[in-house]
Amino acid sequence: MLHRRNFFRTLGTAALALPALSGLPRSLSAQPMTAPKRLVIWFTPNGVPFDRWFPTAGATERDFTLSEMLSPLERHRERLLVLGAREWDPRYVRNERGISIKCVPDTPSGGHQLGMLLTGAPMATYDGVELGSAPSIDQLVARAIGDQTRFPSLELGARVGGNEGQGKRLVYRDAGQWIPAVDRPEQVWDRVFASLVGSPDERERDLARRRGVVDFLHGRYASLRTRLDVGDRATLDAHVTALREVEGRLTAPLNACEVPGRPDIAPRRWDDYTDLPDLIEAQCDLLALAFACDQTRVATVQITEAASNARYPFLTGTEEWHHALSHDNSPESVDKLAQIGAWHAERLSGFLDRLAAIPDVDGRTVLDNTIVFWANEMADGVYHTHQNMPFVLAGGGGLRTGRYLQLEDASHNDLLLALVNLMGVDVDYVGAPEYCTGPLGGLT
Amino acid sequence: MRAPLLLFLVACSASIDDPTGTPSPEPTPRELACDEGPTTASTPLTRLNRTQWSEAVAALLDLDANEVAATLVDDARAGGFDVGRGVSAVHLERYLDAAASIAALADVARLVGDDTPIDFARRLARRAWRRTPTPEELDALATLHALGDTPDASARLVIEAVVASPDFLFHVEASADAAPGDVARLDDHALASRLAFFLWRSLPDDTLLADAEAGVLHDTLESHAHRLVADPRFERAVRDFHRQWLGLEAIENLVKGETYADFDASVARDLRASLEAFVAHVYANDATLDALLTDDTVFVNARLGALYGLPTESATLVATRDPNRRGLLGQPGLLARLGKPDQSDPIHRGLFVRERLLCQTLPMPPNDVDLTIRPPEPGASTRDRFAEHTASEACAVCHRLIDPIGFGFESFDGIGRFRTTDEGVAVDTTGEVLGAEDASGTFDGQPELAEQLARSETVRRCVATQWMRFALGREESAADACSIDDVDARFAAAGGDLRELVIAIATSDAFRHRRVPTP
Repeated sequence: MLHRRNFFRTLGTAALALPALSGLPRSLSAQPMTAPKRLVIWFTPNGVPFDRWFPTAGATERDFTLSEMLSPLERHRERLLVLGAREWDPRYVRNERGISIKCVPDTPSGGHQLGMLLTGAPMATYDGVELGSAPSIDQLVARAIGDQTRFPSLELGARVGGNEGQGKRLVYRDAGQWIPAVDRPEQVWDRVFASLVGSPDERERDLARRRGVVDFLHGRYASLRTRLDVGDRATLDAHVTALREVEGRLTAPLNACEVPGRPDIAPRRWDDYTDLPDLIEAQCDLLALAFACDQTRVATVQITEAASNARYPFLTGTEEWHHALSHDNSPESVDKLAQIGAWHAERLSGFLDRLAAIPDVDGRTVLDNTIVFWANEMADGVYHTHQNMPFVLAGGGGLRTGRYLQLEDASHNDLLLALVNLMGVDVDYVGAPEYCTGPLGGLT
Repeated sequence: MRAPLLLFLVACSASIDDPTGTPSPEPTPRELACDEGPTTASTPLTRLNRTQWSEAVAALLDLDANEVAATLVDDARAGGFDVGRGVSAVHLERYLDAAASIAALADVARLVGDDTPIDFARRLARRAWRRTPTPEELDALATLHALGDTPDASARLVIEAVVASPDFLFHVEASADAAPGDVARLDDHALASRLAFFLWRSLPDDTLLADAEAGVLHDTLESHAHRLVADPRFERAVRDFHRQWLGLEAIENLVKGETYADFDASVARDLRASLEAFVAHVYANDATLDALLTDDTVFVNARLGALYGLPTESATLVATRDPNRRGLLGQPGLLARLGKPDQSDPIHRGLFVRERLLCQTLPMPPNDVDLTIRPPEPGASTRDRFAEHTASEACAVCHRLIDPIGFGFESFDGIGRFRTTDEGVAVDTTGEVLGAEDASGTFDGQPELAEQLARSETVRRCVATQWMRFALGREESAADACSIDDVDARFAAAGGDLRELVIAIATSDAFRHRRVPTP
């Protein structure tokens, strides 16, 4: 197994002493002392056992004790804003407490539809395929600030699921337009760093070839467009938009920065999840470096998928499936769920370590200028509830951290709106307007 | 006016008030006249799905493209079958990278042969794009060719560009002379592609293209359909259809618990191969729906034979007969897939029949119910434990459409082994199909259920409908009902001949026409 400390060595870059951001992005060159804001959405699935997750509240918001599942985040305590309910009674799992996702249909439903989590909108069917019906918040932000970096956003993942299904579809460019997560680190490297390596000659030749092909394709798309029926042109146009995005990357300035080695993690059989630790480590390293090189400012990290049946034998010593465990409230299963949750909290903590180690242009750290939102598609896994969602915010970017914020019946859409507003996107609602009353207060 | 079309979503809750206690799918009245010209629904613009991309590249460049195809973003699924839909920069990058990878793998010297660069480009583009390239397109390819440092590099650039082109990626169908909403005949080139991608999962061959170019394909369609079905390449369609209809990948990926200690990855692989061999056996012999549902052949090798009580010395799969099993629904692979890690699974076995053979979709369970089932224990049969689970009226309204079918499979354990006792209790294999028109009725055991389903017109129409979804890459709609009627009538008249079924689909109005999409 590859551990974090030697992974940076494997990547061939200077361990955690990452270079200060160099090669200022275009938009910032006029005001070099202002650092850009960044947004990271971190996803893990299947809900949580409440009594092992939520902190114990103290006399004030700052005076709280992290639960066993969140304890690995203790070292970032001053950078956390944990969201929860003022009070809750486990006998009434559907009481509107804390933050509730309100666009979930009562029935019929599997409850694991991932397309609601970041869109705040109900699922809808597009030509027979069920998808999110609004842009996800990361994409709203990417629309606003994405043109300032080579990648408007990066969608990363680890074992996001190979089967067709709504369970893995987290990110939406727009209604019905799903963006897949890239869950192989070497593919992330190929996208972000490959064009930074090689001799200038080789790079020039490669670029000429790619440009030649893209130019050719623009001609073919334009020609096909005139032949298609008017009603089919929107579909083709979406492809042309995607082609332009790819093309833009060929010519975008590549900020000088350290290029890591290409990760090399052998793919496993579909039911063998022992590569999950290495995959998450590698993706965190690549994302931290992508931030350090200012290749993007918006990212999602999707760990497995909604209703994930990942197995964690390296933790729990058993081959039980995560989703199966989440439907069982026996003490043994809850113990294993708590172990899995704490392990995920440690992965996030490690990612926050990396961001905290990168100096930003304003003399602070990248973590200080990043909003991290740890999200889950579900609250209670046994009963498939969406009340008192187990959400954690971390980082900076305007958040007032070091607190446990207890809420009464807050709408999830209001939280999404508040995050988008904090990222400087000036909109009045997110997703389904009927669930939006205004940006959630108390975050700043 | 013809027989009403079944409503596909069975409204379980509507049955609560039914005084007879017999839930039934509610027929939707159909106001569709079938003698007023062809009708069909719109098929959205789609790309080749991954199987089609892989087969088309293989046919174009004579190489194995499966590994590269696996790097493409996975397909969406409509009507239960893969379709190339949805787009993002990631999708596009994968297509571009895949085209470059394929170009790097191609045996350029052999492909180009003695052709001049422009002849090679013309030949490649014509095959890949299923039409003659225009002079402007050839100019653009020549420009690209000139970018290469060597003849080899130039030829690879041409291959990369042709394979990355939208004319290769998309199922291009257009109706220049028709208005949005109109039903128009497919142009010959689009029809050639539809036919080849349906029956071969691949590009049309020169014979098809020649008739398309001559503008006579609508007249020769039926003979081409016969030709394509008689060709060995038709096996791809059979394999690809059953892979998706039966969920074959899930068999290969099965993992069972300690209860079934002998069940390992090799057994799972063998089971998939065994089921594929059964399907191939049906198509190689009778090729009828009746055989598919009732033939008692099972393919085993020494490993499977030992596990399933059908001994053989053979290292490879050989046909044997098992009187306890009939057809698809008796195949060990399917029963293992529809089995839990430690016990049988009446719910999913019942659901499979309901969804895949009766074409009825049931709603998901409501959110706030406890889905946990009491684990197996001596003296408590599966039937008893599952009955507890769905005792409440709220659960029962749907589960009585599901469980009584699944209980009929109780003579098979969680890996599909035949048994006569379950946790020390004699198995009870009586069951009932409710609310399924002529497929309804009581039965005792899987062989009887198989016979009952094989006699049913509802099942026959459902199988025809599943193939129709596979052929069109979309779910059927009310506007396709006349075509489904015609296809089903021809399927019935041919005694349930499965080859006749696909030929009937290929020549149906829905297949040779399209509704022009509205913006």
